[in-house]
Amino acid sequence: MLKIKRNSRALAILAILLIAVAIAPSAQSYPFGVSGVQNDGCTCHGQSPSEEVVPSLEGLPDELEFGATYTLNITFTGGPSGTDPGATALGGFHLWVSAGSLAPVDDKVKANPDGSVTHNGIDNEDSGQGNDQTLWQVEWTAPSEGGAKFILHTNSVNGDGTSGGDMYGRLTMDVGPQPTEQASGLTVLATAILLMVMITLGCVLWVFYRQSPDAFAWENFWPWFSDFITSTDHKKVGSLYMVNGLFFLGVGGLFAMIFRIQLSSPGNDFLTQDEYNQFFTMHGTTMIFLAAMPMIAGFANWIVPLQLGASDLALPRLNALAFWLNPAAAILIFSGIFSGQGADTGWTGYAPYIVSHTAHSGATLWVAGQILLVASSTISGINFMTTFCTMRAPGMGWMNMPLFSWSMLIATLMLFISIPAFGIGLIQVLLDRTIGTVFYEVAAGGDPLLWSHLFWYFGHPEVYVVVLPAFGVISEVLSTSARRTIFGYKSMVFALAGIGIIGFIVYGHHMFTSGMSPLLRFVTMLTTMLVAVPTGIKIFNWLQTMHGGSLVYRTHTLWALGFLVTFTLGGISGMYFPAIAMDLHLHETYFVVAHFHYVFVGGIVFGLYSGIYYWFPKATGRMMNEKLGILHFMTGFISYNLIFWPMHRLGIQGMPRRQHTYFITTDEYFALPPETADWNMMITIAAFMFFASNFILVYNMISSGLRGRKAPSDPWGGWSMEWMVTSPPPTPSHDPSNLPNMKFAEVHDDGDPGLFGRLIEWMMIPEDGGGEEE
Amino acid sequence: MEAGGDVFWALFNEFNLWALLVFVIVMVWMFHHSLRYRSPDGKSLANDADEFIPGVFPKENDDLRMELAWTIIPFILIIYLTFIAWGPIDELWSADPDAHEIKITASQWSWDFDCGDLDADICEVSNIDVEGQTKPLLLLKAGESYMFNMTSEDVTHAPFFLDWGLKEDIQPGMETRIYHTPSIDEIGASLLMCTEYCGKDHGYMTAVVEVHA
Repeated sequence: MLKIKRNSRALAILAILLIAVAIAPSAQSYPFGVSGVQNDGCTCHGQSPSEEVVPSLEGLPDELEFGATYTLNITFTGGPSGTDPGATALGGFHLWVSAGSLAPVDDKVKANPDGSVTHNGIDNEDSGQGNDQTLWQVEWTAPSEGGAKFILHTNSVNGDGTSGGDMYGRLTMDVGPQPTEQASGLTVLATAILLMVMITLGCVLWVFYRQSPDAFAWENFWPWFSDFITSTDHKKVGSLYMVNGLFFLGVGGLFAMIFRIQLSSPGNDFLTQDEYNQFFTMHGTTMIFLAAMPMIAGFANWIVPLQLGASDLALPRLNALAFWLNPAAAILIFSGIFSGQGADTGWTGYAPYIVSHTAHSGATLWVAGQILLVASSTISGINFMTTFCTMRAPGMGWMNMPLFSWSMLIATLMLFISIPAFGIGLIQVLLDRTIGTVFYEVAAGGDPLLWSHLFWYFGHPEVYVVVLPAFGVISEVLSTSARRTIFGYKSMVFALAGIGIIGFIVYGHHMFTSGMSPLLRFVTMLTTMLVAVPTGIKIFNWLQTMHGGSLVYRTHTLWALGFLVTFTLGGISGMYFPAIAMDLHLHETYFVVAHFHYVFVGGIVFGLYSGIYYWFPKATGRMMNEKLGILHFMTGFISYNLIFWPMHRLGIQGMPRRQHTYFITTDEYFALPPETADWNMMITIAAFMFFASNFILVYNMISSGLRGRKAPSDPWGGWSMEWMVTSPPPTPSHDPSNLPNMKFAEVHDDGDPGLFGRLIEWMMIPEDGGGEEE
Repeated sequence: MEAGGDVFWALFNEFNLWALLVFVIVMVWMFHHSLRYRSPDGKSLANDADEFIPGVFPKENDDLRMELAWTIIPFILIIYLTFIAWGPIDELWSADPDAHEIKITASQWSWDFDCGDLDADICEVSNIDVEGQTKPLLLLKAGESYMFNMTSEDVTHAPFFLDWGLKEDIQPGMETRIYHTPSIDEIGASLLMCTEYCGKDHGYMTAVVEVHA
């Protein structure tokens, strides 16, 4: 009985959803891309060309003489034309040409505003004019160089004054030298992504096969695979997050490679402007939301419960839900781009552009996908907060958590406080774009700066959300490799918290040129300068950690040292922006691009690479190949700097970002110096090197994961609790009936919780149901 | 000619000096410590100063004086940098009541300059060819003070006065302003580009600003 009730309720909900989908305006692709009337035909005379009507175009030369004028004869045979002797019209035509110019010879033909020509007269009254003919003459002046393509439609009409029964025929002709066929950017992208999906699936199959080659059987594959994708175990969800993150790191890289080809020389047209705009939008979106965030979630999933001495995360099912929202969001976001009308708003999605009719329809899908990602981040945030508060091992106080856990705690808190603003903005934009609300419609009184405020209130803390876990990884790696306790553990925690607080009041530095209140600009200038202090403390503490130690040179150590170089550079270049007088020149130029890639790649990606090499033995039970690791570091670090260091120079010279091309100084006006073209070519080449270098990591992970040396439980000699369990860790990760007890190398008298600890304890519901008085 | 105005270059050179100093300190420190305090064979974990044992919170390693030193010294540097960055803002934002007003109206994807009733010598608009496309040319006079009063018809745009190192967003439903007095060093024509993403032809939304004597 109950079951029937529940089913009917589910059916009712489904029906309501279906009705909602049917009545709500849905995203659609408009036919103004490559298609159009030239391909789709004359809808007034049938939907598709008819074979009965045979057009002909005469008068074109075999050898084209550039600039010469030719008289062309247009005629056709077949169709209903002339079968009715009393007909008032015989036929018509429409001729397009890709180059040169068309002109009518007499008044039977007229020129259209788009440069094409057509017959004159459309109805019964103008007998004797163009609609009464089957032969027309036009003049074509050939272009001064190159050939041309003609598209001719001829209509055969029965002349009864309606379009019923009419037919048309289509003819295309080339004359002169034709340009070589170019691959469309979207085709290249789709092929490359498809290839990556196949390689990824191939890797999964290979991993499955290599686990036990002798016992290989297809029947075993699905149970193994479905166990993985339906698991709520934090380690398996963490692995899914990592695979997802690394896959989209590659896809985001593909976008970058394709638009770097476009930018390699000035005036290039490898991509159309529409494609270019979608590509840089998707590059940013993919890298931040589909690559960096999942990779961080992957590390957090894997390492946090192990470090805290917990058996799993507090809410494992929510954890799996948070992950599975990610692929759904990715499919939504990418279905936009493969409709040919992907989001072209930049990863910042600025309103009012995003709600204007000129923005691509795929922006709706982009917004919808982002809302799913907001949901995913919120859910996993709840999960991690609960885990940190309730599942630390006995004896582990707040100030005894390893720094990676601390960094995740602060990052989660920041995400929690900032992401609602983004979610609200996205929902408003979605409503604006679908059901016609006017939150961002300036003409209806919308504030043009509202989105910028909401977005950057989230967007700037988001940068810290992704960079803080990288700080955590570097703290762990440097301390373990140097065989020294991290220098100034407490000041590291306070610096993290300081970044977490100051990070919320600096966002205005993204809007120094936006026209917002000068007072707010000035205040955020001061606070932005201030954020350098806690960041500086962290860098100096890392450096001092090595003092008196015995640094072990492993691949993860190299990446950590490389991080110190690049992140310091990225931090320093960040100091140029809060000086408003400099920002007015540097804003929205390649200097900004250089800065945030030094932070995002040199900070986050290098930090996470270091983490991959550091925790890989723990996760898989196999040591990684150090030779390949060092090769990866050398090629990656050098090519990375070759890409982004010259961008500082380009930015100072005034090359704006997000532009389809760039303009070199001419005799008439001053723009970019001519050597800009050479720098851009060099950047493109280095970008391909960097892209390729990452496949060394992928290969290393797969081959070492299958054939590497067996790893001991503590290969690097670290102290935190993940090194207590076997490699790979058992499930549950720490035995719930025998949780590890935190011990201390130096005994402190005062074991009582501090002020913060008492506050949290006060908020917690005691496990025995509460109410027990001491 | 050179991109960026005098204000930009003065600040930029000063900031570069401090940036170089900080970077050199960090690099010397990093290379010294990582080479001086390295494991003898680069791999052995035996030389374990703090005796890490899994599950045991390690010995403390801190020095309050050092930590305070690299909190306070960078803080002083930050205050100094803020101080030198503060002054030029006045120069950029101060409104000259006698400035000649030029209206800029931006729309997807073109610029419209309106000189009002200013003399042709002080402000004039004509056309110029930029890579095969006809774009507006704004002619200004060196030594005259200008106020650009800007608004947009559709979405956000931003004119980038390359030679002066100035830009400001143009928002629909809002008026934003740029004040500038071109100096005689700034005589010549330079390209004006759009630096706030505005859609399909964003990269080709250009104009030329020419300053004459």
